Amino acid sequence: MFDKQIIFTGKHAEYLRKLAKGSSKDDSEWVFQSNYEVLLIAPVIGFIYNRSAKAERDAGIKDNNIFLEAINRVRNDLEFTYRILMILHKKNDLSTEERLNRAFRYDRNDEKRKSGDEVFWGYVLGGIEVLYEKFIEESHGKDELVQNIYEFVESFQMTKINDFDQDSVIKLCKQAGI
Amino acid sequence: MIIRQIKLNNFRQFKDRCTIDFSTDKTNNVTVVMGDNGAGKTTLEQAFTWCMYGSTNFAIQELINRDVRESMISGDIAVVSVELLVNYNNHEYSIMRKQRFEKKTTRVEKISNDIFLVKEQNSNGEFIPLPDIKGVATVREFMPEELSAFFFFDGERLEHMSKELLEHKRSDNFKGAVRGLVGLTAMLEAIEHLGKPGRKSGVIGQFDSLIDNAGNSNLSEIAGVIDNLMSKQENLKKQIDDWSDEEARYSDDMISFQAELKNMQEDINRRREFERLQALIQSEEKEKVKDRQALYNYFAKHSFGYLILPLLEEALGEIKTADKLDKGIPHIHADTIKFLLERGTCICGSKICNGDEATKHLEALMQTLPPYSIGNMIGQFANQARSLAVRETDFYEQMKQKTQAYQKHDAVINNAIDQRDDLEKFADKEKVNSIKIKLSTAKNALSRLRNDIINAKTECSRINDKVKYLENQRKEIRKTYSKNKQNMVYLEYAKVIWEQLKTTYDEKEEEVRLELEARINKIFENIYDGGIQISVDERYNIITNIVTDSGDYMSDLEKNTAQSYAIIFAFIAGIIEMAKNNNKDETNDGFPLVMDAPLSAFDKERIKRICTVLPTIAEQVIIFIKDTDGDIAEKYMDSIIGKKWLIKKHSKTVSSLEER
Amino acid sequence: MRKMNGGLTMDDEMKIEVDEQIVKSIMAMIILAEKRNLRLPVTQRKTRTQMEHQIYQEIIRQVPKE
Repeated sequence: MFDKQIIFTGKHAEYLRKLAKGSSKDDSEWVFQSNYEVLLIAPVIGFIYNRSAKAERDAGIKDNNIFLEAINRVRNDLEFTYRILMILHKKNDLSTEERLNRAFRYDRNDEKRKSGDEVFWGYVLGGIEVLYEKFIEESHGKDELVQNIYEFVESFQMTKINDFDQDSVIKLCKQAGI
Repeated sequence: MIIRQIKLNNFRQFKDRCTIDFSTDKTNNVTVVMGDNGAGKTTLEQAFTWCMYGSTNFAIQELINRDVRESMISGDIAVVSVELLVNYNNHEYSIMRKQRFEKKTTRVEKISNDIFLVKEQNSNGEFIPLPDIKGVATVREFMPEELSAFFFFDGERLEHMSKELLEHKRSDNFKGAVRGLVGLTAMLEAIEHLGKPGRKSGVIGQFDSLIDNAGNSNLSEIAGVIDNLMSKQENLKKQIDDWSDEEARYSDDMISFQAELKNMQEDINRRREFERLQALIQSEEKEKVKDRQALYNYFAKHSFGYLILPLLEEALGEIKTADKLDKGIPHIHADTIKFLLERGTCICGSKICNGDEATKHLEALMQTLPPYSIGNMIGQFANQARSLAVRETDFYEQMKQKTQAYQKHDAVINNAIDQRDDLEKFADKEKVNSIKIKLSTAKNALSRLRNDIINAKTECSRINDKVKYLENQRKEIRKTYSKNKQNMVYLEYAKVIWEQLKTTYDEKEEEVRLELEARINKIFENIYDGGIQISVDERYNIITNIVTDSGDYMSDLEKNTAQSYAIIFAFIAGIIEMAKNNNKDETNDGFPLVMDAPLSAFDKERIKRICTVLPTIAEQVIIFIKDTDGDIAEKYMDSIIGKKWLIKKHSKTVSSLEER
Repeated sequence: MRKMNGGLTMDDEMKIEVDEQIVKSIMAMIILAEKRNLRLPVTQRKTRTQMEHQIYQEIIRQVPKE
């Protein structure tokens, strides 16, 4: 997993370009300095906002590559994300065994991993779309962007986090006996 | 005296015959004559004085209407006349002056002197001409020439006097008025003709030279020196007067420069403030950019750990419920088992053969070992989860703080921009400097003037001493010539007479001056609620003081034309009042007032006041106003206007009169 | 009788005394002459020199001879 470059096509390629370079000519000042930063949080966002998308091809849009060196920087967290998404995706439809296998067992087996990958990348693209909508489309000007970022975090905090008790996580970890 | 009518014939712009009937009503005693500048207002005003006294301030040639003049051919005779119908002492009079002109080959010339004719109406209604001297005397009676200037106050004089007031010049007008009111012109003339002790001119001077010539040549010399010295002294005194006026003007200038500077200083402070705000705005903008960048960086680096938080607990829950948590044997890889299987011997040394129990067991074990087993991985996963759970606990607070810090900049910036925009105008450093230069120039000029004045005064008193000394000498020498005794007696009489006349006159003049001053101030109370006071000193400098509410005197008149006009009105009213009083012994109808009134230069309050004051003082008021001021006049003076006239300008050379 | 010395400090060797009545009389004549002149229109009045001469003559005429 994550052992070769990743190529984005179609509109997602463009979105990624915009996210990682900014929509203004001024590319020294943007939230994400490089693609991999986007790549890191895109799947989480895709999952949490329940957005999934399919890759598109568009002859008019140039592809967008993330090279292996870049990927390596976030590899650990990326793998973690993969696993956690596999564990949680379609919790009600898939058996625990199936999900755990997807999460942990097929690292080296491209074939067996195919369906899992599809899910993951779907979330990645979905996450990219969400980020693009919130950060690029809805932000006209730097001040608005700052506000949008903050509101994104605010709403995340209120809706996703506030029930969350980190003690319980630790408790849970200990419970797992590890 | 009341003026009923003026009839003009070819008088300057008024070609052929033009007539104005004035209002003679007791209450509506105001006649308004409207006309634009150049239409003929001033001319009309001057027609009165030409008629009565023959005095003009234009050349004789300009007396006759230009059209008429230019259409004359050689031999033609044209007539210019102005006739006034007046009522005085219940008698009707006609006063007329006529001047005839003849065109001689190339030029139009006047034919002998003008004709002055005064007629008095008798009981039958006929107008009987008075003998010349009687006519003149009668006119002088009801309108003394010295005062005529104030009863016929034309626009030029108004402007001139206004300038006098505003520029602190000595007022010749005031002086003339006082002298006219004193009425002792004959005395004044006598004093003038007698001369002055020490001067060579005048009767006294003549006696002096008589004495000197009869004797010692030294005496003539001394007389000459004395005369020169006194003349020099007179010039010095005049110079001192002029310098004092200039001093006053510079002082005023300095005061206004200083005030201007003060205003500009405030402007400079505003500019400093402006610049401070600009700098603040710029630094805040820079900080804003920095903060934004920091916020972005923080988000990029730390959002992952934060966003994943909600998933951690759930995922761990899932793992926990899983049955299978293959843990496997630590640190043994599937490859190890493969190796053992291939070599056929276990770690413990037992043989492993294909198909036997050991092999099956080992193969099953292999499935639970990495990379086939996931237990370790799950364990690692749980570790990662645990560390992630605490990695970004701060994230929300941090983002909140960073966002607030960022937005605060905007508040500061907007506030500063707001304040900055308020400071719109501010002074040029150059302007300030130029005023400072003017101020210092004035200061220097002032101190030089003061020096000069002091020197001149010293010089004057030195001259006094010198003259005294010389007079002494003269007396000594004269003593020795007995044949001069007679002449010296004459001289003495002349001097005595001069002195008595002078003392009397000066006393009377001061009396009148003070009374006029008091009357004017009284009238001011009606016009300005006592807010302005004037005082007139012996040199006829007019000083206006503004009395503040607390009763203090504040110098000085604002350079305000409207105010100066109002002062002039009060002045004229004062003169009229006094002139009326002077003639109390005769049955007096009072005086008419004919004047130019630039109404639009006045503030409305003043117009109202003046309109109420004037008609009560003058029997009849004839005011000349600009065409465009007509509605102002109507608005404020309607209740007292008896008649309205318009001077219509037909061309540069011809105007006519029309009743409205 | 009034002593006039022009305000000068001097030895009172030569004080010229004047007769007040005569002063008044001369004064009256002068004033009348001036008034007469002023009654005339400006253009017809006597000149300064002429007036001075008139006054001069008047004084000589009225002042007592020694």
